[in-house]
Amino acid sequence: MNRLAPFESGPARRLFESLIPTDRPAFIDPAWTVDWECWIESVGRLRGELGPLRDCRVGLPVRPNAAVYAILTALGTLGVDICLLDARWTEDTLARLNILDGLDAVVDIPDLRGPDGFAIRELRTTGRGSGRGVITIYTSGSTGLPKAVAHDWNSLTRPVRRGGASRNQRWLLTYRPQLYAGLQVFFQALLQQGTLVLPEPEASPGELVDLMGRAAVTAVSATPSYWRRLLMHVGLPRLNALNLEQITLGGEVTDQTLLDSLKRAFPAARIVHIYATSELGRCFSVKDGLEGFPASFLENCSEDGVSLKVEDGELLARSLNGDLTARPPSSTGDPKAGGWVATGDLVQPRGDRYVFIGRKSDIINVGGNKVQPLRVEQLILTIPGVRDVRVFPRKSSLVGQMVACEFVVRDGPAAVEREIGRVCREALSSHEVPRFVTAVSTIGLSVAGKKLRGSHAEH
Amino acid sequence: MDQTATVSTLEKIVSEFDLVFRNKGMVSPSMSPDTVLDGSLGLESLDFAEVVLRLEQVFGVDPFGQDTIPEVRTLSDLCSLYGPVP
Repeated sequence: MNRLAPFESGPARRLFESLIPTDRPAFIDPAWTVDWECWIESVGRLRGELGPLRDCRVGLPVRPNAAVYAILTALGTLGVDICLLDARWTEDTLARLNILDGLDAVVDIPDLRGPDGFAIRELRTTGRGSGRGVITIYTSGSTGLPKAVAHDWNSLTRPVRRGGASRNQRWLLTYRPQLYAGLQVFFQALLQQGTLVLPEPEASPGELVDLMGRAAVTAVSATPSYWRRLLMHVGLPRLNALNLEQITLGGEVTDQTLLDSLKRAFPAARIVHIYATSELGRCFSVKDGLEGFPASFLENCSEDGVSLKVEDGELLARSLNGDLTARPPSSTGDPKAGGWVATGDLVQPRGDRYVFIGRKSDIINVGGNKVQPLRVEQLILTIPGVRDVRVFPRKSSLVGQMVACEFVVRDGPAAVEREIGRVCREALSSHEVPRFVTAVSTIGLSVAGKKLRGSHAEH
Repeated sequence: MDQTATVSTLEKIVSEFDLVFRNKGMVSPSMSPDTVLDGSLGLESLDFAEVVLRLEQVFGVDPFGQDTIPEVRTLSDLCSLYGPVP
């Protein structure tokens, strides 16, 4: 078997064939800024040292770090099956998720200043790898346990945008590196020979903007919640001073207020919101600066090779590339006849577009009446002074669930709270009105950078 | 009977009703232990569910989350679920 199979026909092969850029670093991270030549040399050396793992299934705790990416890439060239682990998981978590039983070894890098200090923890001697370079991602699991989804190098690199404005960008990594969205940013930077800028995981909005300026970041992909946090805590002049060329939003619904705010903060940037899930990969992107997507997307296959249709208000997707991922049957979304997959996202026609109105699973049931939290959030976000809001259910012994919300304001929370009550009572049905309204300093986000949903997120 | 505790329970419950009335933009009616908790107060069933959730925050118990739903006709009936009857 050709052990270079994962890169044989894929775009990553070109990385090692093309000229190595000398005018920019490959990675800028808190511990190690490394140029392309040095980093690729590390990958080549690691490929030799990690060779004995080629038939194995290996766990890799992923930290946002150049050394970890070198190990990942080296393992990929060997065709090793890799399970990407959250580096914060404890032994207990790994045991609970039953992950270690399926692994031959765990590769870790205690010294993050470079990839040389890696350590291999062997768990057994028999090789369990497929030799096909399967990459298992544990999805963020915003409700319940993380879910394993199997990808491969082709499915993960397929969405990379190539050529033109996509080349030589300096990307800021805002996502958790072991999740699908974080990998997309890594591959975008890697295959377009740009630079990946890696912030400290707990960096404040101010520190992030400082880093973006210092590292001359030109492209940022983040969730709408992440963007709102930046806009909320950092003044317009500091944001205007950044030279962003590309802004990508994904993972959550993007609303018009946010798109307009980003346009004001970054007038020169190309703003794109993408629709993707861990299970389906990227389905389509919207570039016209408007929320939702054109209804014409339902007639034509997207540039990502995905067809769409709407049934009972729910968006269904089907990949024309066959299976969008190499996922096992147990980890798919709800499969429908003809390869259509129910996404769980609810849409509504508005003029010549469709807009997202929420997720089926987010629906709050108040005494049998359904409430879409997103609709209530979008209404509250129109109230002057409200910087962010989260609408969620509270368990009620009498009516099942009731609507609660928490909001962020800079000044005058009491007045804004009254206004939220007034506006909601005027515009919404009684069961939709948030009964429990609390001012908070910040809205909690999941590890995937998305707003926490569901009663598990109650305070 | 602990008179202080009794008054306090009644006052706390009335105060939560006041809040729900105010949030609805209504003027709170005068409430006594004999006040009948029905539609005549201007509250709908969702408002009553809200009061019960608020009382759970105040007293740390939800008497409606037990095996059987208690019968509550008057404010005094409701008070008895959270403390001594006045």
